[in-house]
Amino acid sequence: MNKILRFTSLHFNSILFLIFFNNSFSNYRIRESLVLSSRMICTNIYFPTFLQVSTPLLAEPMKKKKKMDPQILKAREERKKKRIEKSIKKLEKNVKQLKPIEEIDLSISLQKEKWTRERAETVPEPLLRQRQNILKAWCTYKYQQHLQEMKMVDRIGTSQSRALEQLREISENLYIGAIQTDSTLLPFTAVGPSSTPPLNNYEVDGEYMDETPKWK
Amino acid sequence: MSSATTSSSSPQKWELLGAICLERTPIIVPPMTEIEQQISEMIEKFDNMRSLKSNHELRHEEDKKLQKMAADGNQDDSNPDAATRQTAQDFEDACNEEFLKFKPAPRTTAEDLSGDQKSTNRKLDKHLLFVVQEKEKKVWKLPESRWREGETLRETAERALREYVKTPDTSVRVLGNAPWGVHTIKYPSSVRQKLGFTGVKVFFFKAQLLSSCTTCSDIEYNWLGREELRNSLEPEYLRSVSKFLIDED
Repeated sequence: MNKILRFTSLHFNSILFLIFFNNSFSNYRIRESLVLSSRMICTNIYFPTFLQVSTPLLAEPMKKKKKMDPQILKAREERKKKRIEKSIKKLEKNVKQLKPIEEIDLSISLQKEKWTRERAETVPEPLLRQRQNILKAWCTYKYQQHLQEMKMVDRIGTSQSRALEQLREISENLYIGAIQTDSTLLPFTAVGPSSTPPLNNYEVDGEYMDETPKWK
Repeated sequence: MSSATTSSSSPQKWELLGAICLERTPIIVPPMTEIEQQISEMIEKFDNMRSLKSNHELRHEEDKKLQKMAADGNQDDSNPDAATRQTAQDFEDACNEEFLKFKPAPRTTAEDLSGDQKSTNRKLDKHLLFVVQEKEKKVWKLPESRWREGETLRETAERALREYVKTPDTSVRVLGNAPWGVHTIKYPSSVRQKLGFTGVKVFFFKAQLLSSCTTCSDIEYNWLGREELRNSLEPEYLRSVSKFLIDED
């Protein structure tokens, strides 16, 4: 194995010499032109002490890295860590913040004057009895209505499955076409019935501005 | 089931028709029934009793107190604009007056009164069904068309509608690919041999009208309510159709 020795000399003004020795010093010789890179120094095997220099290198030797105080480094790292932790905490805090519900968050002023707003009315006995009777009748009415609706849904479902069965007997292909889902129907929107029909050529007066607060 | 027995005897050929059941859904809610009226009044009454007074009511009470003080004679000099200030009652009156100026559209339209069955602008709280009259036989039925090779039955039904109505596709919403009902007509045996078909099967597809549409001029058509269908459609046909219609009342 060859050893590479590095010399620096003031005379040669920071030029590097690379001299190759054989491993054993007893049979001391310098190999000729063992080229490792363009920065190599050539030697002559006939005159081992005769040193030749290559062209000056166009660079300085690497500056020695300044050694930092490990404590300062440690402190710096700590600070960095803390900063990141702080921002994470801040983010986590924001996640917990929920959108306020105005109806539930009663303002303090309203809470204070609640007693002034209470009605001192008591429900008369006959009215309570009347309500009972109406609620009973309502219960029966809604139950009957529900039965009717279920019957209707059943009837329509039966009609559809019967139609599909008959279609299948005629043509399998048409049946397969019929049972495909219709993706255009979803999401389904419908404008519900209102208590009065829309006014023709109704002009909206004033400007409407959406003041809904935005919550992130 | 009729079709099950027919298919078991011999391979039968059926003529296929796709028909579209185009409906105009209700625009306004039907009037409340008696029990609905009662319960809504009752709920309102009890809700009012349980509620807290509003700012307006508090102001009203304040006004009353001030009026009483003025009547008693000990006028509060610290409140010079008492005479000119708007009371809660004034505010309420002004609001009521403004509200009276607004006239909502009437629930019964001119077409309701004239009984114009070609208009969709009547029977606003009911479903209206689009029916057309066959030219030769003068029979009322839903728009239908013969199935062509290569198209699905839904496409047949949509084509049937296009043959009768000039309307952009966006104004009609066909509800799904599956037929909602079927109507079977069996031919008499003489016709059966001549045509080579056992009969006709009409598959109905439901659709909703989303906006107004214009009808082709050369056909007779009507928009009919449920009870009016009884007078125009044949009973057998109507039975097949009403199997998949939504109840009313």
